[in-house]
Amino acid sequence: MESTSPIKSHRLSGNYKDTVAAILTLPDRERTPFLLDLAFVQFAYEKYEECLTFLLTYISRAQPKTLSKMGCFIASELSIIFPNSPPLNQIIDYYQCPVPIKKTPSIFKITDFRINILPILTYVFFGQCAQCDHTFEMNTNVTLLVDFNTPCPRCFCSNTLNSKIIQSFLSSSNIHHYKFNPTPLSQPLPPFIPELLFSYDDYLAPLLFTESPK
Amino acid sequence: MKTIMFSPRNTGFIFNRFHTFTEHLLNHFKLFTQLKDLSHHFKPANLIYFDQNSYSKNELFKLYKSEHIDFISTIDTYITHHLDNHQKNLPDGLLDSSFLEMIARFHLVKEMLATRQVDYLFICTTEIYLIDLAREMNVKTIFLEHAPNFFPFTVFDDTKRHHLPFTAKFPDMILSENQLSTRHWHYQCNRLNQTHTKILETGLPLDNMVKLQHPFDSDRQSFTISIFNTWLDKSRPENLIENELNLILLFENLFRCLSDLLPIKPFRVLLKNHPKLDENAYQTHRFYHQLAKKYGIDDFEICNDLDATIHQTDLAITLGKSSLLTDLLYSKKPSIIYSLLSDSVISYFDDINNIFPIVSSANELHALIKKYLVSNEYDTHQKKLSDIQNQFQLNKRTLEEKCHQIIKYLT
Ligand SMILES: [Zn+2]
Repeated sequence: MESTSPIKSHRLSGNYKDTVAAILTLPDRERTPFLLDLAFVQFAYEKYEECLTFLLTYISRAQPKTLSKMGCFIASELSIIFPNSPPLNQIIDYYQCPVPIKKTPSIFKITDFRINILPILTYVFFGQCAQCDHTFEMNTNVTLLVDFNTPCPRCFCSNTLNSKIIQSFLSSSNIHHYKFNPTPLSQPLPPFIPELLFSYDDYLAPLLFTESPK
Repeated sequence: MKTIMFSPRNTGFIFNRFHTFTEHLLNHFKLFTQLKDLSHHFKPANLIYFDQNSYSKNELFKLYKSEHIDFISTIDTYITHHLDNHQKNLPDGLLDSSFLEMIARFHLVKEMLATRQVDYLFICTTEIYLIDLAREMNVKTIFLEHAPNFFPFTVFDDTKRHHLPFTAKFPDMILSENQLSTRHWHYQCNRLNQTHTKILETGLPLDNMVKLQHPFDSDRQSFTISIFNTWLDKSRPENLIENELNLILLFENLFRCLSDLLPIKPFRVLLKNHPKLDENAYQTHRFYHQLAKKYGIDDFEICNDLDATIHQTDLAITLGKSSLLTDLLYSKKPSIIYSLLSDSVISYFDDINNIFPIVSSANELHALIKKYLVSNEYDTHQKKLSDIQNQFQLNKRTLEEKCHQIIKYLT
């Protein structure tokens, strides 16, 4: 069942910050159906304890007759990490979740790139799942020295983003044609504002790159 | 009883760096603060809370209309200058929301200072925009750094100033960590003609300074080389992408270099990441583990505890002028700077440059580390560090003594 709610579409696009933010705007009693989305986000962040908590809370509150594909995916993956958790094993039995298949992650195919400034500097990589071609984003904060996997939000296959892929994408893309002029500014500036800006370390430079390359 | 206040930035460090200092301050001063829950953590007797009226966006825009215009035009000048012939369409509302966030902090301090006579305002070295405001209100400003650094002081030498120049301004007082930083601050004050500023060598009252080391060289097994990893300050445009890509190469070279040195004499490698990099450990750690694997460095570990890492270190490699060099110097750990940036500034003082050798290529790094493995470079370097420690009386005060010194001066 494809839902058109903004929460689902944020989650499907890999934008987990906005997914969580959108769920938090709901009153507590309306959050129940989205506890599974929260579990998925925690899984993507590799926060497995929190992920398990959300999954169990979802099951006990919603008491669903069947468990969605995402729910089954989360439950079976968690059972690798917590093999001796009785409630988890019960869920897997009851909902007949399939045994997870160990597959090597596929390489995330980066197609576009953006820098977000606020609330914190984030590198956003848009790309396609190597399994199902679904387009979603993978984000890194502060650094490009990374190597991690994340499940595709649609087919749940594991996708890898690492420095090597980033390096080859950024070296070939138009992003390097954004040449900035390194000579100091010589025009007079209004007083006060430069000092004010100075207290925000990470603010100014990223403005030069906030537009995504075409 | 006099009243003190922390700036917005320094307020953010109360819990993780200035906790002990704040406890001591509260025995002798009133602390004026906007943080509502301080009484859960500190004795409430001398806490005075500020209740801020909430301002709507429109009210703030109205109050700071001309600043808003200046802000937009400054950003425009900056972008036009640094990006020639490029159409910039900044996302809607981005500039306005940034301006609001910045000006709201200024307005908070302004309102607080207007409500109550404050004697001292502790500001971070980046918050010089508060100096004139405080002066108008007869409040003394004091630089209180949240990390000690005795290299050319970033605020006034950084390339950021080249991207957006402004006139340096110093506060009424500066708290200095030790004789070396005092010498440094004096040099800066003279150079920038800020002769009104008093430098108080009280030490920096930081909770997180490295603990004085207990001698425990009992069962040291193998030589340990520790890499102290940094993150790149994103205020420099070249640090956004270009230097991030360079950093990937730098790490390749570093691990290859270490791998080449292993046959000479076995050693183990520790990596301590900057806390900012550990916030996303699930994304970052595998990068380093994979490198170690690729280059056959089996005895490799990522450490989370800074003190423990420093204590186990025989030779430190930092990637820039980190404030960690102060900790490493205090702990008498020979340190090499493997510098990513070719334009990296050196100290004004040769004795400092002399104790922190800088290399910028993998070949130089190889040659230098080799000396520590096969010759007596380790002892020579350690002796230099001891000499500097003795000459400048470094690391002699406890945190309590530092707090008392500051309080004694201000009361
Ligand atoms: Zn997929």
